[in-house]
Amino acid sequence: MLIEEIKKHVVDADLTSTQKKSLDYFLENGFPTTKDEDWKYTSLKKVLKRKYCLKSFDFELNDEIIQQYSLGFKDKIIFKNGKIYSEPKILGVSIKKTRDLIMPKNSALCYLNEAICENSYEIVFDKNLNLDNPIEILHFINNDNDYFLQLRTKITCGSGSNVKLVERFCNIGNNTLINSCMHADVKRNGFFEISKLQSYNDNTHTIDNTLVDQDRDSTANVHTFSFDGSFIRNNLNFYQNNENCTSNMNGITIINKSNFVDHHTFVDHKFQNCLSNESYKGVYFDNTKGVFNGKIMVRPDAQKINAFQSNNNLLFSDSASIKTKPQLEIYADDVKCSHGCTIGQIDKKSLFYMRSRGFSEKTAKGLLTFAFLIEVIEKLNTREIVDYAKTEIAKKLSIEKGLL
Amino acid sequence: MLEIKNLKAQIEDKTILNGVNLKVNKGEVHAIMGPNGSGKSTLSSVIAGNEDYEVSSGSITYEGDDLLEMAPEERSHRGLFLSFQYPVEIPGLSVSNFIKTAINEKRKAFGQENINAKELLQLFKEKCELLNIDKEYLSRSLNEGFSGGEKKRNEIFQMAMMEPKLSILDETDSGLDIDALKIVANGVNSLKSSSNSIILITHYQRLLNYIVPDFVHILKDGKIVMSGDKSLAQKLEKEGYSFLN
Repeated sequence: MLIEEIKKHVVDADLTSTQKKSLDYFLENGFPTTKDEDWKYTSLKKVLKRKYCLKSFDFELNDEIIQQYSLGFKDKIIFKNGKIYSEPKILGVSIKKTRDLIMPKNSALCYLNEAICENSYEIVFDKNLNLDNPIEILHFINNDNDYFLQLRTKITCGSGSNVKLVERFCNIGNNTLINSCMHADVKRNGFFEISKLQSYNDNTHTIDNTLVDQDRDSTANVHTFSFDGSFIRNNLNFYQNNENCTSNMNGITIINKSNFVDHHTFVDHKFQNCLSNESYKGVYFDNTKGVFNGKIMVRPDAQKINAFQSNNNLLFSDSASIKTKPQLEIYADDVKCSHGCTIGQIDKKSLFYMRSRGFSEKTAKGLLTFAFLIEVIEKLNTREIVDYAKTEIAKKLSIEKGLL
Repeated sequence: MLEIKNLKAQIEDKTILNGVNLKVNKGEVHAIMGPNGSGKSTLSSVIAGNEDYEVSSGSITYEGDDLLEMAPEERSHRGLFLSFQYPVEIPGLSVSNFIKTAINEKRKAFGQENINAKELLQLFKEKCELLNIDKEYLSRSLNEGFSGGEKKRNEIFQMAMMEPKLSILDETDSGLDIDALKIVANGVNSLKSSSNSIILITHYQRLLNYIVPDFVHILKDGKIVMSGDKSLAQKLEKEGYSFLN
């Protein structure tokens, strides 16, 4: 059904030859199904059932709405349905149109994005630019109808630059399926960090594709906070294209109701003396479902690699579930790789211990859960983001934020 | 203060307490001794409200109210304190935050405001000195990586901070070397008053040299088979539990 809409949508569109090729790839492969290994536990069926429109739509945006979704950083890049709306005036930061993104070669969704995304931008951070504060990227989304939106952004971090971003999709309209592609190109000795705040409303379904290319001596950190939204699929890929790269991935998932979150991560260690560090923690209430798939590839010449991965999960309900799978492919012999997955429940002995000290069951469970998550929170170095995480976590645990 | 009548308790289908009777008045120190498997720890767990144990008959009255009807946290708010034989480790939760929250949860239960920061700091300082604890230790994760002795000392530190009316010390002496034992015993003695009571559960008479009990009870096969004064403990030490047969 949606495929028919897409075909209709492109009839009048003036596609470039690359777009046409991408469209063909997509039409040939279609949306991924549970028959695809990477989508085995993640069905798009329900999400794709709706009748989405693909046409963009203009709407009014005011400060009040913006403040509601902002963490309060001074500098913001704001998009309206994918189209640039406002940008900060910072020397060394520029935004221009481009379609030139590198995305994974095997993703039909990324090809679809390439084919039909109307607004595609590059945010350039000049070399040696040192940003004191994070910049917020806010995508406001609104439409009269149910909406299938493509977002497409390239981030270029010049050599020696230091860039921190906070990204948030803010759906203020109807049911929306977002297919976002972000390509971050981190040049030599660059530092790039992005915090993805996934606090969506129930009408929002997202597929978030992020690819990070890293050059020599660079560091890239991606923090993903999956707190709300009916359907979230994150595809996060790191490519270490030279020596001495560091890639850090941290995730906190804490969801309730019938929400669904899937983290698929991939680190490609292609060169020697590199590091990757991945820590995802999940807390699942009610009828939620989680998926974690962490793949680490160490190519034959990539010696002296340190790669760590962990995925720990707490289930709070008999009807919550998590499918977790580490996937290590190591073709070099002088490397240090480790991985670990755990699935458990709140420890009864700890709970009794705390209750016998006067903690209500709710407070005890809340603090034990927060203690479980703290390892990831301690890796965050921006006050506003720690504050955001604590607020959302306290809400989920029904305890006062002051306790955390 | 506490009255236990004909208490029977079981875990799964195994009966462990088989008719315990015990009365503890304000200001008294009772020692409960007994061989392994006699039910000492079960007794303390049942008093504290551990739901793993099922009380099949009998009663426990605390300050005139039915203790068995109260949730574990309510028992704590009412002034009951159990020093655990095996305190749990909670990585990620600091000792100070744990104790602060425990104090505030109790205050909340009585409709009081949270303890103010200055008052809390003063209390921490005082009790750290009492138990010879380095203040840096307050910021460590609760019991994580603590030695056996440190864990026990932390239990008594919590006891000192929470000022309970009735404390049950479950084998607090095990795992302590002689110096630590003296510090812990001194701490407990200084917390003792005419308005609070202590139940000491122990294997050995050693602890009773430092915390002198008013009464000594011997628990065997889930029953108190003999009660006496402190000389009973000395007799036990000399002759072992075999004299009971």
